[in-house]
Amino acid sequence: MTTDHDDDDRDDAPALPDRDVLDAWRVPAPAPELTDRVLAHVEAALPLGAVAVLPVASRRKGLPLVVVGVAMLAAAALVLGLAQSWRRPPAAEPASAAVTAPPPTLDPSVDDAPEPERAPTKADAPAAAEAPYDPVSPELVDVLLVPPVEDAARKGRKGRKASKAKPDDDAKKTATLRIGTARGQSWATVFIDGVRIGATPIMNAKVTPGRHTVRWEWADGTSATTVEIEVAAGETKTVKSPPPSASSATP
Amino acid sequence: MTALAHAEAPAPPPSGARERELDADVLAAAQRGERWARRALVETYQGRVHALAFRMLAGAGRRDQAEDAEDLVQDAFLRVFGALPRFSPGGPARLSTWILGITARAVIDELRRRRPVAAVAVVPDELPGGERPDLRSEQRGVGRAIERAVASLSPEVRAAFVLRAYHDLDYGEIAQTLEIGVGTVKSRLWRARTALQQHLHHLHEEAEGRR
Repeated sequence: MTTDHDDDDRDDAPALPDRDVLDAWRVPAPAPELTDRVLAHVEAALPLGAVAVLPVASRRKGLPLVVVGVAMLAAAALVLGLAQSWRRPPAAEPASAAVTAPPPTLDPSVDDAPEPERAPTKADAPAAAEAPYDPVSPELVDVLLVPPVEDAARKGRKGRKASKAKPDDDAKKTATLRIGTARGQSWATVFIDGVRIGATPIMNAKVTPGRHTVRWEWADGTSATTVEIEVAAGETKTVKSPPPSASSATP
Repeated sequence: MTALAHAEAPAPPPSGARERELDADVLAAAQRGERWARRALVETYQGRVHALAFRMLAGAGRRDQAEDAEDLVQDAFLRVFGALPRFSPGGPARLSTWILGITARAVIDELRRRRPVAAVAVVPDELPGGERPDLRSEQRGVGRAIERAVASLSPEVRAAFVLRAYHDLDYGEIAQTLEIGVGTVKSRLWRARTALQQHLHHLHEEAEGRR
């Protein structure tokens, strides 16, 4: 649909070649299984039946029961939460006791120093590692794999907003992995250094520069492939799973 | 990549002919997340999404341009379905325009992340049996010249050009999908057509020189 403002044929503009010339640049047909791969990728990330916004047709008929039910559950949870907070016994002593009780005296034998931090143990490992499959958003991937920029780089002068780290500085501290499966293979769940990232294709996984282990696990649960890659700071590297004939189950 | 190994997509519809849009009730079902409707949506728009991604990846220096395009198709549709509940059928954009916009932005993001590498020479395809080699060769030469011209453009400029030349979006639609002004669209298209004209002129001179 062209409008009066679409002046492709203005005298001062280079002419757009004819359609038959443009069509000389042909596009190869996609793989026959691409539709299935697309749907598998989408369904892995967006479960069927997920409703975020009411479609127009439903608005005409009224609110669907599922939205009403969710709203009722949320209200009930809020009421219960408030009720529990009201019933909690007060931490402070009764007023009469507070007036008559002698003031606390400092006991030099008591150690006021904060409890020393203990080293993290396996029990402290995030539950996400054991949780059912849940695709990780690219933003969360950044948090998982990239160590935080030192606070000193972000502190500003007193009275001013903290200066932001320059994008170039951040880029030098990270690398980017783009991970997919070889042609002919179905989608797989990807792990980087043992951390579950999500379903292929992974378009923008931020990692620290250096050596990393990438693992693909396919839906049948019986096959997996692990490769080690090295990536430099600021580099973007594409990693594809080896062809099916080279894949081998890893212990 | 050879012509024997990868069949070419069917010829695009003539200029001005709009490809079909998804029915409103199917769209509503897809917004509710129904599997059959999602498949219908993908089947309706996959060809256009793939063609846009493939052409925008022109000359990106990757051996596996076809595989990269398919990966981007998957990524684009993931973004589409993630945002689909917010799409309003009565809004200013057609569904196809909206989907192509998401795809173009996904490819632009990908191209920006990649380091610029030396463009790989476009390898001539083998000719299928029975083809007239002279006409086919000339047509392929033109195709490669267009591809090189597009490869010389920045991601943003090539997006505007491909949307205009191969998907028949008007200036307003391009401006909307790329989230830029109409003036910027005009300027980008001007640069793209200039590059294209230069490459085709160079091809013509080469052909004249060989005669």
